[in-house]
Amino acid sequence: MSLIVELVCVSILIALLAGYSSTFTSISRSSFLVVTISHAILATLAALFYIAYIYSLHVGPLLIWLVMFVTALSVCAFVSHVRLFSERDLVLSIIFALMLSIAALFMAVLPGYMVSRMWSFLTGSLLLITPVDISLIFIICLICSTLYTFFYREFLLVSYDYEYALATSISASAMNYVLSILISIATLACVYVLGLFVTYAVMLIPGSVLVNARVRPSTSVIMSIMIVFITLMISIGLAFSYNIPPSGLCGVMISVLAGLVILVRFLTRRIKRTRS
Amino acid sequence: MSIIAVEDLKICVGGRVIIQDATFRIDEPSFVVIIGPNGAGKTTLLKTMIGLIKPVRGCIKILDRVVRAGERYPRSIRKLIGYMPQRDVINYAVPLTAREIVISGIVENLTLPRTVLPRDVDSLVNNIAGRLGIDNILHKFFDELSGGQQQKVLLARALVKDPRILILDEPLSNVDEMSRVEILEFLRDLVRRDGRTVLLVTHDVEVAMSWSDYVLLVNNGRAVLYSSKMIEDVNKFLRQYPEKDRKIVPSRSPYCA
Repeated sequence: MSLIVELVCVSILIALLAGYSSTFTSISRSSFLVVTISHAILATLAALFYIAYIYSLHVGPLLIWLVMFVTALSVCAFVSHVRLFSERDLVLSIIFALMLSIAALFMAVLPGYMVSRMWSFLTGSLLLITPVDISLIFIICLICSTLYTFFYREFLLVSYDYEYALATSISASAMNYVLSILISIATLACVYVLGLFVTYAVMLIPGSVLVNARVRPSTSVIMSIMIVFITLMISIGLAFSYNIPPSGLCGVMISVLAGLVILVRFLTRRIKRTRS
Repeated sequence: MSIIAVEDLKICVGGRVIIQDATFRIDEPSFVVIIGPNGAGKTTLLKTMIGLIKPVRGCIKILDRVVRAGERYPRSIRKLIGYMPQRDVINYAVPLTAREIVISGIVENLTLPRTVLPRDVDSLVNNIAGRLGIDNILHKFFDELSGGQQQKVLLARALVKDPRILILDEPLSNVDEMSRVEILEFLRDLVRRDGRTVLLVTHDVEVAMSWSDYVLLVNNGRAVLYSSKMIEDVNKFLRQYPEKDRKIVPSRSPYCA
């Protein structure tokens, strides 16, 4: 498979994952979960590289994926026991601060070549994706997209009226847990491919801006997928032309686009108010 | 066969006893209004009856199905009950239209094994919306609606699956007088014509006395069912309200003399 085909495949898969997850992250108020899981992944990978350095072990991509899975699901399982949104955000922010500190501590004691490898999880390694990674991302994408599509109505209900969902015969708490797991898995795939910084951009911004602009959730999913895919494609094109990290460009483009949407909405409201 | 029977129910939340020794029975389709001072446990009792809170003692019987303390609330009972929570628990950030909200009332019927076919959804929603007079606002976003319209949409959601029992938590709060009467007339028709049983929490004593068949008084951890004809008993109860809670009784009410 040529590099271009690989990049297009990864972009489609990441766009699907981020598009679905971004909308549900926004409506289920799980932004803190995304941020915390991405930092927890950074901390555990830093710890993994430190252990590998001490005992002279080889760290392969499959081990990295495994560690990321375990970390994401552990955080998800831990916070699922906290029922109140306010308490859950508090717990998540504590874990987030702790994990960021742990990551910083481990990165301080790692040798230079390992720090640069860790750096790829901050800025992304879109151009270094292997066929094994693509296969894993494809499986993740297939599972997540199927579940998001199949349980769309249930996820929507538990996100906007959890108490009512609990009173129905659907398993609301299980649905809520599955939704958190899907968001966590999408987060880890984005961290691996795009890096920590851009994960926030693709996982939080499109869905939040669209939902905030009163776009219906189903439309928001489709639009988010398209936004992430188009920006990734443009970023990859520019990366080849100007030798700039594509994930960084993608983050900048999504943020600027979101800023423009917010500005246009603000001005439209102002004009309407002035006219009335 | 009773419609709802509660026996020796004890409910604790966070280690605190909220309701104890609650025993009452509703044998025929009725309009039951639950009243009591703030913090008396009205909503807790309601949530226990729909299985959101597990009682520590006693049992609840809904039609022919019995749930004892500690037992898991069966799905078969949940299908019989239409629930309308208080409006403030809804996440208004989700941009859903009134139609989408009403459809969410039959999510459980649309999942496998289906009891409602997707092609029947529109007729079900239009039918219930027409009865409640909200068919012209179904395309609007939920947060664009007035308080009364929002309550009617939530009522339509609770009703769209055609439940035998309707449990409503303060459906009349922040509703103008006209919408309030419309909702109450609709509920009374639901009991009289369709043979449904309605349990409604309110702070409005006038509603309790004028519209209901039974009044369930909740206070000091007790829940006692009165026929709304037993005005003296209800008045006696109301006089027990602490000073700070008496404001919920309308000053012009003939029942709080």
